Amino acid sequence: MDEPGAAVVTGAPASFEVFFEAHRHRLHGALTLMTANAQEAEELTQDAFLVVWERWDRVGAMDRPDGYLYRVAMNAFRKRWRRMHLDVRLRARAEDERDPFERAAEKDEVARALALLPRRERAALVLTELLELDSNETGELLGIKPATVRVLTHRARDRVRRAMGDEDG
Amino acid sequence: MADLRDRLDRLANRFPERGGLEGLDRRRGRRPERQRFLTAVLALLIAAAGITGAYVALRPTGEIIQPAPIHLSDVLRIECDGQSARVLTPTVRAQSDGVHLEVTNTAEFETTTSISSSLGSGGSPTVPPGATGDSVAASLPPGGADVWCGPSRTDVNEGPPEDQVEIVDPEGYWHPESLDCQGGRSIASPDLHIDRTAAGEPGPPIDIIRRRFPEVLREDDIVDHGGYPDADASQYGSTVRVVRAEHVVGRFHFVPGALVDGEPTYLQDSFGACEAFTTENLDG
Repeated sequence: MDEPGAAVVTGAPASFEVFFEAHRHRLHGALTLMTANAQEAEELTQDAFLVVWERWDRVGAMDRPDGYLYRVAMNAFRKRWRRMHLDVRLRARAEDERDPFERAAEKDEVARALALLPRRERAALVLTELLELDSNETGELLGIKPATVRVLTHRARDRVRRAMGDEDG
Repeated sequence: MADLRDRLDRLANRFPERGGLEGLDRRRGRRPERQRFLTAVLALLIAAAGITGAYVALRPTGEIIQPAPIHLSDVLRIECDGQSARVLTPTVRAQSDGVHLEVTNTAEFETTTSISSSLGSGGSPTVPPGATGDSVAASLPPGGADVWCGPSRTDVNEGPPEDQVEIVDPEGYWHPESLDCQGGRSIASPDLHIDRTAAGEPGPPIDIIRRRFPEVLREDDIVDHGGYPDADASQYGSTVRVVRAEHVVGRFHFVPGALVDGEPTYLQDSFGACEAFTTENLDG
């Protein structure tokens, strides 16, 4: 696929299309849990795939294009959440319309427990539990030491377990 | 806690990606629109600030309005927390060897900082965790420049700029390197990756250009160095420019090559020239 837009224009099956279909739900689901916000996850997912799409000539030839995709997505996740103005924007938007994740958290104690976790703990838990990455890989994606990943994951598991235990009685 | 993995999996599956490739394509198309919109908003803000400033300065009150002092720093100080960059000195005065740059890394890992504008780049200094890097002189031209930072070995400047700095040059150290072809055509080479252990031509670079184009250079052409006059040529190389009637019509970048008989030699790794200058024998 020489030109990223060609697949959409012609509708012809292309390797990026296959890659996109194979990973879009998984990445979006993981990012939703990490951000506790489905709309924010949608933007991050699309932005990450756009980066990959525009470089598909190079990325498609990699051994693990999905590794590149997740690195781009996690870099964007980290950068975005550092910005105070975005945080303000998100809070302002939440007053107008409720996010699907927020609605899910009303009925699901895991979602509710996740939403209450600090951001780094939530990200570490999702990467290690849901995506089954080890602490080295998780640390690389989050820009923290593997030992810190283990501490964050332990704390997060403990908090969620307690929340689930409380709910389950 | 296998149960937790299952619960997370089920929860994640409740949020499928809905846009599909069509949504991706629409977002791709919107990105330039967003950039244009932000540029337009910025232009309007600048214009509004200019008009307000002019009104305040010129209104007939009889009193003298002093402009607010702009604090000029001699060092561009940047703090990188591993996620984003913060410029601590928003307006920086260029020195004769470039813009002095000092990055403090407050992250727990090594970071890289990137500074660039449309006319040049300030390099990508890498700083160990918890340290302040050595002061370096960057070849950043006057004007605005964007700043990013992030973990080293990543593409730190992929997203929108994280902060900005304004470089000012009241002493006029900077000699513009950009071609000024007055609407005429120009040619330019890509940057070549030169083997610096190879022997080049004996210097200095200005003499190389004079030797190379004896019939093309006019008597009143000025052949001099572009960029900052005292920049460290051993690190960044040096640019020789040909100025004709106050317009830069030729630009040649040299890096140091191997010593030959103890004498320095120079290798050319890029060039650009206006058609008005010449397009013959430019790549020497």
